[in-house]
Amino acid sequence: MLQKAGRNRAITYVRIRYNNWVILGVKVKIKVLVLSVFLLGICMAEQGLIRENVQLEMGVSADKNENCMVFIVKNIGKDDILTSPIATNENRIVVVDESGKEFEIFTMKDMEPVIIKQKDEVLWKYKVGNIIDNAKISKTGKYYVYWNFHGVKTSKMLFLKQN
Amino acid sequence: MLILIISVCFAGGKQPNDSGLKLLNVRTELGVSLSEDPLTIVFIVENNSKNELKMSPLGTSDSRIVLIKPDGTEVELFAWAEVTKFIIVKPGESFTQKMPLERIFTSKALRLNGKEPFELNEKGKYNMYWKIGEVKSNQILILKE
Repeated sequence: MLQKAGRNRAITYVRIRYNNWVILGVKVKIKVLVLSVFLLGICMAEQGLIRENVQLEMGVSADKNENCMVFIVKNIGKDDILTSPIATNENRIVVVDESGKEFEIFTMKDMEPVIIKQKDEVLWKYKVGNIIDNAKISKTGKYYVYWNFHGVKTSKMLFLKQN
Repeated sequence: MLILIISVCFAGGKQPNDSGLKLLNVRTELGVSLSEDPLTIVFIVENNSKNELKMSPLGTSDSRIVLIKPDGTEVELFAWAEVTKFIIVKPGESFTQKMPLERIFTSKALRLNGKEPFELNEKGKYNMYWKIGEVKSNQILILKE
């Protein structure tokens, strides 16, 4: 009886260990997949595949309850575009101060890619207050902001910091 | 002291198109304030000429805010006013005016083809620029949802 119970416990233990390895394996596979997609995105940018296939627009939101910038990308190419949200990885906001010094707002993140299908448009919003905080803007003066989307850049937009 | 009339001495910064006067040493620029909440638009004029610059306040007479609607039509924000106090910008100086974005969109001074007050209810992408006489500033995209 005791021997049987011990054997069952051993089988259960092996099963749990096996299941954990299976779950771990799936997790690793997903991470590898996400990373591959991310690297593919970088390769596309480096090869200039994205450059000819996107239309970028940067502006502000008219919503009175928001104090936000808007970033709109349209896929005008034939292939899907893989990217990540605004201010992550190769999708960056750049702040230029009066001396010409550039500060990039972004974090490198391993995440599920944003897929922009043909003719689709994706919109991101970013609070103006977050630009001030992240670029550590404290001095008064003129700042220019542009959007660097996988190496494709918008024109610069003026931001004025006063007392 | 020689004071030049705006329409003669202005030269735009980045022009939306090539029309209008192209005179040197004066630059107009549209941007966003980092010091105000809600979102506020700044209108900057830099006088790099040797003469003083005389202009009417923002939204009056020839100093107009122009909104290009999603369908491409242009709506101007201005009121005819007998200006008693002109803005004078000395050589080498700049002058900044501000207006909250919401006030621009809800203004009673918005006009289509220079006529009657006009309301902006249409959702979509607008482009805005500042026009002083024939001189135009850069444009800013505004998304109304």
